[in-house]
This record gives sequence, C-alpha cells and structure tokens, in this order.
Amino acid sequence: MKVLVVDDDYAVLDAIKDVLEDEGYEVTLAANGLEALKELRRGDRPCLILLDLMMPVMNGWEFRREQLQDTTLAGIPTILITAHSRADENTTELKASGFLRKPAQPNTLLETVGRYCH
Amino acid sequence: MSSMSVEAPSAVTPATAGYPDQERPAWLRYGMAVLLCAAALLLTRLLWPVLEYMPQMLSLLAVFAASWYGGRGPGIVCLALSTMAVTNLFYPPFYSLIIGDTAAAMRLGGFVLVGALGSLAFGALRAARRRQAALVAEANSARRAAERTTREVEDLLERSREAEKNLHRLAAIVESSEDAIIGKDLEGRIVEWNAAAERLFGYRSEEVLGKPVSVLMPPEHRGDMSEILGRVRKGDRVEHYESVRVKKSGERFAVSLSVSPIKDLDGNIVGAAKIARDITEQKQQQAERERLYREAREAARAREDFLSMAGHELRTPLTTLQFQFFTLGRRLSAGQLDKAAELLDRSRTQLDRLVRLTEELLDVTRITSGRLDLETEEADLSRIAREASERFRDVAARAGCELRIEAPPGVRGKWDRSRIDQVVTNLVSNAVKFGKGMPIEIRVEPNGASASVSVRDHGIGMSEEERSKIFDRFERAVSRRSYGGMGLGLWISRQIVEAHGGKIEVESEPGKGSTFRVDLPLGHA
Repeated sequence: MKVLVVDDDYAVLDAIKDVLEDEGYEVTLAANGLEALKELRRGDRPCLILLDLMMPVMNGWEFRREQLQDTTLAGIPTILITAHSRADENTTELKASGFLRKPAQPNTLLETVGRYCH
Repeated sequence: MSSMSVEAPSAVTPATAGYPDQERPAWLRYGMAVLLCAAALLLTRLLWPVLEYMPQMLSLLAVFAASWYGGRGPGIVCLALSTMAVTNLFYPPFYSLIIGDTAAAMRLGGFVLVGALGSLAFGALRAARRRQAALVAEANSARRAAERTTREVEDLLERSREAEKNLHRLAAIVESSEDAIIGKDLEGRIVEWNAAAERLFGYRSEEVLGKPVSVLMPPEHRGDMSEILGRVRKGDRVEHYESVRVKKSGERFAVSLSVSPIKDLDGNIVGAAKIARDITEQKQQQAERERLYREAREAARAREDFLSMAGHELRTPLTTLQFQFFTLGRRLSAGQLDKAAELLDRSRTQLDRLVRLTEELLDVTRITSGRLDLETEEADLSRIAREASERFRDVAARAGCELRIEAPPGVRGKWDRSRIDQVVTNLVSNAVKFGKGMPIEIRVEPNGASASVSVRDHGIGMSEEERSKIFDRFERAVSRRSYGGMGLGLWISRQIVEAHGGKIEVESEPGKGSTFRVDLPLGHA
C-alpha cells in the first residue's frame, strides 16, 4: 500500500515518511506537483495522495487541475496537508477528500491514511 | 449726504374763525330777515310807551342785523317790509300807507335812507369778510399741503439715510470678507473688486476694474465661464464650482467659486457676483488624507498578509517536529538508539529554523524601533560565506543546486559577524529556493576600502517591477501559492547592510536568474 506525499519542505517529507513507514506503508515523496505527476505516471497507483499546496514549480492548485483532467489519476483520493488558514475552502475548491491542518497530530495522520489504505 | 430739514410754514391765524366757508342758503338768509323784521315790530309794540317817539329804531337795528347775517338783499327786504309795517302800524292814519304830517314823513324818509345805506354798508362789509375767509381757507389748505410735502420729503430723507447706512454696512462686509468678491457685468467685465480679491489675485482694483474677467483664468479654463454665465443669465446660482485661476504673478491655484446673478430694481439680470476662495491648501490636505488612508489600508493589508505568512512559516517546522518526536518516541521504545540519535539531530535543525524565524520576527520590532544594535569585531567575510554555504550543502543538494564558492582568504573588516552571516544565509537560502535546481555561485571579493559578497543563481529571476520592491518589508516578488516565506529576509538584510554603511543591490532577468551583491566598507566600526 503506497502513499504519495507531496511537499516542498524536505524535513516535512522525511518526518511524514518516518511515521508512515513505521506503520508499514510504502511511501514515495515528491517535492512539487510536477514531480508528483511524474511519479504517478511512472509507478504503481498509490492508495492516497497527501498534498501540500504552496510549492514552487507546480503548486497544489495546478497539480489538482492536472490530476483531475487525467482520468487514470482523477480517482486517487487526495488529502490536503496545509498550513493555509482556509483549508476547508481549499478542500471544496480543489474537490479534495479532506484536509489535515499543519501542525497535524501524527495519530490523526495515521487514522486518515488508515481510512484510505487498508 | 448732509443732514437737512424742512421748516413747515407757521399756521395762518384764522381772523374769521367760525365764519362759514360756505355761503348760507338763501331761504335761511331771507327767512332770518323776515323773522328779525317781525321780532323788531313785535318788540316795538310791546315797548311802545318807551319807543313812541322813535318807533322805527328797533326796525333799523333789524335791517342792520339782517344785512350782516344775510347780505345786502335780505337787508333791503327787511327794510322794505319794516317801512311798510311802520307806516301802517305806527304813523297815523293807522293801517294805511299814507303819512299824515311832514315831520313823520321826514322821519320815515330818514329811516329808509339810513336803512338802505346800512344794508349796503353791512352787505359790503360782509362780502369783504367772506372774501377774507376764503383767502384764509385757501392759505390753510396751502399750508396743509406744504406740511404734507414736508413730511414726505423728511420720510424720503430718512429712508435715504437708512439706505446709505445699509450701503455702508454692506460695503464694510464686502471689504472685510475673507473671500474674494468680484462683480462683473454681463459682458464679463470686472465692476467690483474687494480687498480679499486684491490679496488673492495680486491685482489692485484700479488695475482690473473694467478688464475682462478672463484675465484671471488660465487659457484652458476660459471655457468654464461660458457655461456658468449661461446658468447665471437664467437666474440660477452656481455654488462651490471648483476650478483653477491664475494670479498676477502667473501662479495657478485651486479655487472654489460661487456665482449669483445681480438684478436691477426691475428684476433684470445685469451682471454676476462671484465669490472665490483659495482651496489649494484644502486640496492638498485632502490629497494628503487620501494618501495616508491609502497607505494605512495598504499597510493593514500587508500586515494581514504577513501574519498569515508568519503563521504558515511557523507551522511547517512545528509539523516536522511533531512527527519527528512521535517517531523518536517509537524508536526509543524499540531500543533503536542510533536511529533515535540521528532523528534528534534532524529535529535540532527544525528547532534552529524556529529560532531563526522568531529572530526575524524580533528583528522587525528591533528595526522599526531603531534598536538594531551591531556588535562589530574583526571578522572574515570569506569564512562567513564558506560556513553559510556549508550549512546549505544538504538542502542545496536535495534541490539539485550545486554550490560553487570562490572566496579568497583574508577579506577582513570590522563587522557584526552574526548579522553578516544572517545576510549571507538569507541570500543563499533564497538562491536555493528560487534557483530551479541550477548551480549557485557565491563569490567574495576585496575591493579597496570595501569588500563584497555576491550570490548568483540561474533560477526564475524577476522583472524590473518586482526588483523595485523586494527590499521592502513584507514584499515578495513571487506568488504565495508557489513560494512560502514571510517576505522579511531581504528587508532585514538591507537594514543590516545599511547599518554597516554598505549597500545591497540586485541584477535580475525573468527566467535567467538573479545576482545579489552586498558591498561592505572594511573599516566601519
């Protein structure tokens, strides 16, 4: 069961990776939307995408547009993981499955991932 | 106007007071003659023993009285009636008009003669008195007319004095007005010019009276007046019309005009009165208020943005720490001490990051309150640059950026080591962030009395407009959707560099990267 984590902050990526890998998930990382798209089109389909919004090269909004236009990727559940104050509005706007607001509790992260990947 | 009074003619003393102005009716005059005549005869008869020797005496008095009361005619009638009655009643033979003796005839003849002369004399006297009475009445009526005229003239004088006083008062008000008051005729020639107009426009009244009002207008505003005059000719008032006028000196100023029609006594519009007020200062104050308001709004918006960005920036390392501590707990319980130690090391980096962010926030307060104190000491710029780039080696590598450093030894000066480190760190951090994974060149150069450090990337670059504001507080050249950061780094860097007496500059082109260059004087203490 693979989870794709997209965030431009390597420290965040590593920290999430550690938490999830300890629980037995396979984790792939992408530093921005473009890397995430490449990863999705190359490897196995993940059970969940954890997506940061504010990123260089291709931000979360641009990534979601691309993802939703691609019928093979559009169905992958996507949870926003953001420090943005209007995370709920962003969730609706981006047709995401939900959001985790930074700083998120590790247990909440695990519960959320467990809901989609089991 | 000189004071003046009119003497009324003194009243004519009425010498014939009570004398009727109108002639009595004839029946009254003649009736009275008959009555007087009859009364005299009756009285003679009653007093006969006394009047036996002069029986016509009372009748003669009656004739005089009748002619005095009724004029010559009634006197003669009374004389005729009395003569006949006296002949019949008092001279024998009685009850006939025949007179018996000569002496009686002579007495009667005397009576008739005296009676006739008396009638004529009293009639003439009466007529003269009536003429005199008529003249007196005429004089009185003339006097009354003269009195009436006198009163009217006095009224007019009084009203004219009032009008003059009003005129003086109005003139004083116009003269003392703070606003320029200008009168003009319908051809647009100036006909009134008060003291405030002199002060405002700089022309003395003798210089402008009779001149066209257009001398006060700049050429491009001469059209305004035809519209205003059109409205004034229709009797409308134009209030607070804002325009521009020109002084004698050629200086232009903003003016607020109120224009009203001037009417003559018949209500015809004969000109316009214009009140002009210099509103240059008012305009400037308004512009200033608008500018301050705009700035305050922009500042409020920038602050709002900043708070939101600061929150975002603080949450990222906090998230990392939260996850790291969670994993750390698990590793420690599992007895994986090596892995725990490695994780603890990574956590320290996040802690440093939080400290740096907090310091940046504190720097804002320090700088805005003028408390950015430098602790200068002998420092090596090359060493500072090397250490900073070393700290970024991992981060840069993961971003795909190769760090190339060119820093000759011995570039030393008196600087605040930690503050200069903060500047270089910030520039390298930006270069990695915006460098698009391309190489980054850091170069330190001695340059006479100063030294420079430059950081060059080949990343996204920026436009001229973006370059102009990146050193301002809370400003960023990039979209918030793509790049985080509080927008403080370059602003703080500039403050630090300037506090050292140096300068920071940027060269950049969109898509080709940016070069930030800091110049620091060596000896600044």
